[in-house]
Amino acid sequence: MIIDLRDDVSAFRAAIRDWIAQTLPEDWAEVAERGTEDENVAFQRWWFGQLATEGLSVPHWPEEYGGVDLGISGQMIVADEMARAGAPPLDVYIVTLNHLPGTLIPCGNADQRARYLPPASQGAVWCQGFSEPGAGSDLASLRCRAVRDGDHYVINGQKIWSSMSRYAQHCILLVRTDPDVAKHAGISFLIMDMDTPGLEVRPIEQIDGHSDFSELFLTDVRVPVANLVGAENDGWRVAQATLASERGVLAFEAAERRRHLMENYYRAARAVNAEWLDDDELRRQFMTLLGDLQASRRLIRDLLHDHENGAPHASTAMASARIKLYQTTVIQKISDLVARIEGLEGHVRRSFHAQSRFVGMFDFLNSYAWTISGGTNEIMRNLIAERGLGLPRG
Amino acid sequence: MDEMLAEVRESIASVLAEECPGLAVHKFIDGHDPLDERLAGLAADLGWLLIALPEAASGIGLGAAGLAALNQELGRVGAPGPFLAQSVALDALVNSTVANADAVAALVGEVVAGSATLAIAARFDLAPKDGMMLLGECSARAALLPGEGDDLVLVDLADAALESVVIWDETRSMVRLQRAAVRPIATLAGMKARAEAAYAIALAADSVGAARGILDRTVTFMKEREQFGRPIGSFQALKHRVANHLVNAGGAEQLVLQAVEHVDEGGPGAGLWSALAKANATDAAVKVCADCVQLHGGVGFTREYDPHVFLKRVRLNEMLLSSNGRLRDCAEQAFAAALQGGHDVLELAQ
Ligand SMILES: Cc1cc2nc3c(=O)[nH]c(=O)nc-3n(C[C@H](O)[C@H](O)[C@H](O)COP(=O)(O)OP(=O)(O)OC[C@H]3O[C@@H](n4cnc5c(N)ncnc54)[C@H](O)[C@@H]3O)c2cc1C
Repeated sequence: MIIDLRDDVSAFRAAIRDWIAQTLPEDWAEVAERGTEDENVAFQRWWFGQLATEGLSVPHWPEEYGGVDLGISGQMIVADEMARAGAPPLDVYIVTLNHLPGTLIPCGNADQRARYLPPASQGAVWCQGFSEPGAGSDLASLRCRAVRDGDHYVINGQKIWSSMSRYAQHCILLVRTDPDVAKHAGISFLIMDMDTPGLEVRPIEQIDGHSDFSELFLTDVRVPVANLVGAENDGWRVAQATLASERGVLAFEAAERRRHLMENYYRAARAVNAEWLDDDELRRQFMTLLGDLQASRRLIRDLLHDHENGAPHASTAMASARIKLYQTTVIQKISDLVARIEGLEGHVRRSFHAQSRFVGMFDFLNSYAWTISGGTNEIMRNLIAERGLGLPRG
Repeated sequence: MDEMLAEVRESIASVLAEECPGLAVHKFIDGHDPLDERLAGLAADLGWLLIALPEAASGIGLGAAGLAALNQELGRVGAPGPFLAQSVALDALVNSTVANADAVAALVGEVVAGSATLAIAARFDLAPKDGMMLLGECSARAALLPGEGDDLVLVDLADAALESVVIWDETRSMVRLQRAAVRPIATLAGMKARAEAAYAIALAADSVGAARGILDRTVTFMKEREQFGRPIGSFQALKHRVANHLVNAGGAEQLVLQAVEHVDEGGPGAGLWSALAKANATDAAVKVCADCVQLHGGVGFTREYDPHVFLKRVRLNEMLLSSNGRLRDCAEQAFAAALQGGHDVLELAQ
């Protein structure tokens, strides 16, 4: 397995590069562009399986659950090579790869870890059921109600914006178990199987043409008490671990992909002497953003190293809020620029799945997923100003 | 190296915090205190201008990283004096081979010891001409100007007709060279690109420091100033602006570091990243400093408060070396050339 080469940095990198070149069908990007969402998810599952055979699917996980405890530098090599080759992004596995281990390893019990992590390492899809119609930025005001009935919870309520939930086998779910205490104190964290009776998943159509996220309607859904992560009513604390795992390597991969996309976009433009290269405003804005993107890549790299070197959580949490705000703003500006460069052609709906090149309007619309999800950028600004700079709460 | 850099930066910062607080800068610009001379004396005693210079020139050898650290700390407190121009000129002088090396070495020695100062052409994208502006003082001994092609020329200002000009930024000085035909001391062959990169890094670092410095002070002000019965820092419209400023200053700072790495390695990314660092950092700093005026309200419009000092300083930085649009064009050409040459100028060390 390629992962066995990890201690020899250059051999590891070279082996990944060769393997991607041999394994990934050459025309995958074009096929992906033409494919439906279902076909794309099927392709991602196949790709995840291929990665698993080389130990590259969850290398950052602990050994007992299918990983090799690969450190940040190693993860960066993997992400970098994937980005360089334009390998399929594993959108459907975001929760599986990050939130799940980020929650179960610190907060789950041994049974839960043993039961859920190994299958996840082989490709089980997880989703996140935190947000509700009435509880977004103010997540702690959530109302989805769970009532204890013997060794089960009976759940009624609604979740929304749950990404990839229509493909998921399991869901990490926040519910209200005590409505009579302060809002943070009555929340519990559960694992719900997506085939439980009483659960209905309704896809929501997005501005970018996809339906990645769905609404979840829960009517008398029964979840075993054994699926409680942490103690009853201690779910808010557990959720903090989940949310902390949202950033980091994910942000790194996104930034690395854009680095290669920008370079390729520029090369292609130069090769045909594209008109926009003669437009002072567009050309200069491109360079401005190349600089900003480089700055964001450096910030992310430093954050990952600080993490690994055990910098205090409060300082890495603040750094990740700053990076989220900076990086997603840069991503949005890049896509805004590309939309302007492409002009009218960018308005022709060619594809919804272009993942290995910039596509004007699609990327621009899609960029709002970055600035809204994972804590909106306004919430990041609040955090930075209040917890970072110590400005008083309003 | 990193440790040494951190120590040097820390020591400059602590000296400046002590010697160059806002009040002292105000006394200086109001003509009540020769703070610039005191700082020049300290710089000579503490060897600030030696930080970046190679060990062969009796420097500490911190290179572009040292140049950036010095200028960033000076910018943070709005320190008065010709340090920026001098640090750039020295970098070019000690890193070039010139015919009359002894005269140049003697001049370098005097500058480092604080007994002579140097000026540089305000802009490097224009050929010297009568009436051109120099960044530096009327008393400057010599100036570094763009020469033919890739060369620089060090000229003697002893008999030059210099006209001092009053500029908005009162922490630095500029002079007008009435007749550009002045006696050359030495030609620095092929040094233009290196000097431009050093100039760009110094300007970018000074601007990042200034942005961070006034932002810190503005945040402190926002915690103290009360309106509607609460600190203005509790108003979200203002909080969000300072949060943006903080992350944008942080981004600009990273770009300075990116440029520093490439310049110190002498790689194909040096021109690209230094030009972009100057363009992006000065743009960002102007936005931050301008908004700090607004965030102060009426007192932000007074001479007595700090924001204008920093705003004027970074606006001047923005105009120096070359226009930011022009620099982005240079960066673009450098990027194209690097790609053409098969150089990976985007790769980060992991
Ligand atoms: C693409 C995408 C994928 C997502 N995936 C998931 C998922 O898998 N699972 C999941 O649980 N959730 C998911 N979400 C939900 C996401 O976390 C929420 O949308 C987000 O937290 C904002 O909540 P909201 O939509 O209710 O907006 P609101 O909180 O109602 O915000 C509306 C506006 O008000 C602003 N605002 C709100 N409060 C404040 C405040 N205190 N100060 C200043 N401004 C404020 C917001 O910034 C925003 O601009 C996803 C969202 C998106 C867009």
